[in-house]
Amino acid sequence: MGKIFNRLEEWIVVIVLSIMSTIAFANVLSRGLAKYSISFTEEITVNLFVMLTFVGTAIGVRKYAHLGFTLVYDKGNLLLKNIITILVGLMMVLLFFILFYYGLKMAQYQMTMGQKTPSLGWPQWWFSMSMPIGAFFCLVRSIQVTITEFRLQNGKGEQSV
Amino acid sequence: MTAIILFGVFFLLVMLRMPIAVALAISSIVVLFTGSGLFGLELVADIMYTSVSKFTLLAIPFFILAGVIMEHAGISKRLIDFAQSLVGHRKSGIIFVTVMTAIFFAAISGSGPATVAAIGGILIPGMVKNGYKPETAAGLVASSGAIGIIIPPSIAFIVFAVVAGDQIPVSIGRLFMAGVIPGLLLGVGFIVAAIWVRRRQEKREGPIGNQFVMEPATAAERLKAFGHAIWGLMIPVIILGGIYGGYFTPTEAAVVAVFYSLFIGFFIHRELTMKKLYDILVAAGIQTAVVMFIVSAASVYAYIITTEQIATQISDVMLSISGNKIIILLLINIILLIAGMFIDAISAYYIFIPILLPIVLLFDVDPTVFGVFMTVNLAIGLFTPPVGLNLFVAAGISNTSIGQISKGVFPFVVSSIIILLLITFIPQLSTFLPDLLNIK
Repeated sequence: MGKIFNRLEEWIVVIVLSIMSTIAFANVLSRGLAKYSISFTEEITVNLFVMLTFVGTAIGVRKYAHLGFTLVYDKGNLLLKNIITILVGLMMVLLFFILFYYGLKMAQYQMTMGQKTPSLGWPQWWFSMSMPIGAFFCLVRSIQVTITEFRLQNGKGEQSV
Repeated sequence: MTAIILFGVFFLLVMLRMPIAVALAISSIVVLFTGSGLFGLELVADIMYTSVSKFTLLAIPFFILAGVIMEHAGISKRLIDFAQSLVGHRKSGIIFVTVMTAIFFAAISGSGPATVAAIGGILIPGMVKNGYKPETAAGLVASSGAIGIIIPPSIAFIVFAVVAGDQIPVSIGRLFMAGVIPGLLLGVGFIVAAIWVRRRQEKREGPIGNQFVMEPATAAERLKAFGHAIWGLMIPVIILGGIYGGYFTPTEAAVVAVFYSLFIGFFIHRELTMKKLYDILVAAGIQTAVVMFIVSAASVYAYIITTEQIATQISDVMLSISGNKIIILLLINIILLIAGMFIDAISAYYIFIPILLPIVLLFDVDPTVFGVFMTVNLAIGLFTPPVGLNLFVAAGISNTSIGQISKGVFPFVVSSIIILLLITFIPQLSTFLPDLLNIK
């Protein structure tokens, strides 16, 4: 289950980044060679960018890629470490829950209002879903990393993330 | 009061090992929630979404992707070989090779740590073989790699232009060109500092390393090395030529760089495979997310700094300290140097541009010049202890501890601060090239 979830995140990032690059390159080619602008595709690229950001952030949470300042934690005793781990974990969960909940609400609102994107005329909520989806991945990862770290600190054996 | 909560909570959370982006978002949430309740939370989600979906910022994932591809496409190795064939036989040749390839790699990738990773693996052992101490080698590579965010193309400059753009239009093209001379000057400073370190070491321990200096390369060998490196050497020509020839926007240039380096990796150097491409895309995706997550969280923070009049309050305090331009600019440099030691460049832009840009505009400083010296400050932060990102990358590659590297990097920090002062107080160093080429 964990493996599949890892793969899923990675494949989303790989596919999204590939599509973004290909569309953007096609844009350069069509404008330069065929003198025909397909700039309406920018709408797709920019919104996939949001998806890339938040799903990538989830992988980053799992791999500890987000920069932090570890000095106090490193010098602290077990109690302080436990407090820090749980506090930071809770805060991350709070943040990603807010992004998930209000992101979803925004998409729902756009759905009922029938909002369309300006140049392609696609339903706006298709694009807006990228943030709550990404935030959901981040939410799961934050919980997982916090539990793993807490167990590790208290010597309850290693659990692979 | 709001200012104290905003900065206080942020500082506290950062001390607790919270990722900087999350700390920015949470401290903003505290302020917005106490101020406007649940509506404040909706605002957070809204700003975090819209701040990422900006067309100008699209250059970032593409430049990052191009950089990661080049790292794996065998480009850095060939560049180093070429530089070795030119100056490898000289006494301090390896120093020149290190700084030259760092600047060159900077010119194709746009990120500091990426530059360190791409060249450090070859050059740190190379310097150690030539008799330099590992901490000196790691220090030189870590500091040279920071030039990556000053020499164009630069992700940092793109973000600067986007953030400063809320107050005054700043051209990315002009900013890129303005970074060239300051970037080269920093390189010269690092070379001088490294030669000084070498001399001092020789005075204490006798001559070092001459036995490893290679024979001068023949013209034929140089030509051959050039032939191998030419594909990599073409990249800045394509990116910068494309932008300044008016063919591409920076974003388009970044995309072209992606496909050009894929072409080299697959068909010329033949070092890429589909498996590697998957890993490259994942790595670039994570690096992009780290940067963009900061962008989105810091945007909320910057929104509060602006709307709550915090920027005005702080600039009033600063202006009450002195009305002298030189003193204010020195003060700004000190603030940014200290900030750069603890937070990354992207966060620093969102936090400090709303506060500092109005002040420097008041003193008639060209925003482009401000962009350059602010970025140089933050570049210095990349290799200054305790949390210089480049230091960690270099330490990882060279198997030295952060403590050791911190000693080794000291001469380079000093030399870069001298260059920083020159750049701050001689604006022509930044404006000369763009004015000469008439880039607005």
